[in-house]
Amino acid sequence: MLMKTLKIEDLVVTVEDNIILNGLNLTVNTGEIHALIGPNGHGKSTLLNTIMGHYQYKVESGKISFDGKDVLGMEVDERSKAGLFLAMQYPPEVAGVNNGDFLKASINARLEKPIGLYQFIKNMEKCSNEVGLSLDMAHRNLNEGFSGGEKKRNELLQMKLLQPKIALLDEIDSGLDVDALRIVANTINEMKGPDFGAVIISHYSKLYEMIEPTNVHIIVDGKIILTGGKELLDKVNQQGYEFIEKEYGIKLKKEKKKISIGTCAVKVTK
Amino acid sequence: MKIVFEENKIQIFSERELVKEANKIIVTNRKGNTFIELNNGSLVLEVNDSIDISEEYFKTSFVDYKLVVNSDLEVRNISLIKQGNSNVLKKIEINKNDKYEQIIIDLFDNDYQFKSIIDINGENSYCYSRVASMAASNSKRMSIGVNHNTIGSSSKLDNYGVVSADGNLLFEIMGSIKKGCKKSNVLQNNKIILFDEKSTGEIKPLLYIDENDVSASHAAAVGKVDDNHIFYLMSRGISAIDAKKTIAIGYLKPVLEYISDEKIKKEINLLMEKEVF
Repeated sequence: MLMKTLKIEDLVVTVEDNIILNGLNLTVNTGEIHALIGPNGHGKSTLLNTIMGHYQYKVESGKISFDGKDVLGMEVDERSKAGLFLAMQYPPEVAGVNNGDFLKASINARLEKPIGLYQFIKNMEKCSNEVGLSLDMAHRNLNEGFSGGEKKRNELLQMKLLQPKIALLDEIDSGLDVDALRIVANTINEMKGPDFGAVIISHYSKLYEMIEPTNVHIIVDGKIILTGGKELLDKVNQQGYEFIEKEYGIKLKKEKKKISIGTCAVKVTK
Repeated sequence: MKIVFEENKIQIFSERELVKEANKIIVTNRKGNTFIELNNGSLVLEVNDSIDISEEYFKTSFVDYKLVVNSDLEVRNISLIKQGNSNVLKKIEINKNDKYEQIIIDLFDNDYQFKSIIDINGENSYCYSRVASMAASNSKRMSIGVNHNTIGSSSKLDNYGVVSADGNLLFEIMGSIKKGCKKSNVLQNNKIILFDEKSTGEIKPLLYIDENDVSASHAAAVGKVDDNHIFYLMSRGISAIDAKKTIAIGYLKPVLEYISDEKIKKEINLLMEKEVF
């Protein structure tokens, strides 16, 4: 299988007329594991959601292409079928939609012929076991009544079943205990190979120790300001983000505005 | 025309004799099925037995149908609204200590007005009515009214609807408790979910309470489908139309738990998959 490339060029993205990504450039090849780090509120999650096509993020200018094809021109489901996968930070609970049916429909969406029932159950059993979800999860409704940890495991389960080419993991480890963290690391490590690439947002150095990313990027003010390898992770672990101001003269502005992208009211402070 | 139904003694039509795609009532008890045609004109059907009644509304017609329940036992009633621009007036009189259960399923793409008025006359009787309705590019008006005319009468109404395209769905849900009808209860739960820009939904939850020693509550919500849910499904490769369909069906599906007849349950399950959006 040939290497596939996800290319992001000069991406400018706004939310409610506020610029979040300000000319971001990033190239991810299958076979690579990219870590996105940086202070909160500077665009990491926005980047992953924009790649997947979330309706709340408006692309003002720039390009995203995958395997030579224009991603921005694709519908969300087409992006998924092209091989992109987003593991969400807050997976929603969708009432009335059976988890098993949903997983089967997702698998079938990218197959010429629908998967056989026996094959599906076999895959489900194997993968559910590996992520630590009990089989009766298949009978429940999508994420309904799932604990935070179970929702994250359900995201991993979907990733295993769908076998994406590029996985975008938005804080897949938040709210997980040490054992669950190990499962996340194992899942990603098992998928590593020339046909699999990942972009991971995490605040836990422990996860990065277990996964060993090939590329590390620091995002500040909607742009990648530093790229490196393991040494960058170590530096941030020891010194925090303050060194960026000192050594590179890039000012880390305090979070100015709170932007509401949900239905709860958020006070705007200046 | 008045028909008194008792232990299947009276056979009106066999299924073979019925005009194809007629409005019909199927009455089922231990002895089997009786088929009654229900087209233009009025019909009074009196039942003195524990039975299951299912109705199918096909033809475009005015239906004026009164069901009189004099049974001490449970009567279950399923109304399936199919093709045809119906205008149905269905009255139900509950005269004894009963449990009357009415399930109305409406999944087809046609305009109609369906009005069901239930009079609870039997002391300590209970009535449960549930609606699962879908409107897509048509205009539907569903009116359910329950009058509590005696002591200890209680009702629970659950109405769920989904609307897509430029469809319009109106739920007019009324509960009344007359003076002196102590210890009566009325509970209404109404919800409509809109899937597209031009979809509209309206709920009129009305309560007319003329007695103090009772309990009454109503809830109504009309809202847009959660876009985040649609994004989630689409991000797994499910198309926009399939995502909306899956969520809408998931929303109406709980109505199947109230149907005990496996054959009807299966039929409605298939209809949901085929007809919703």
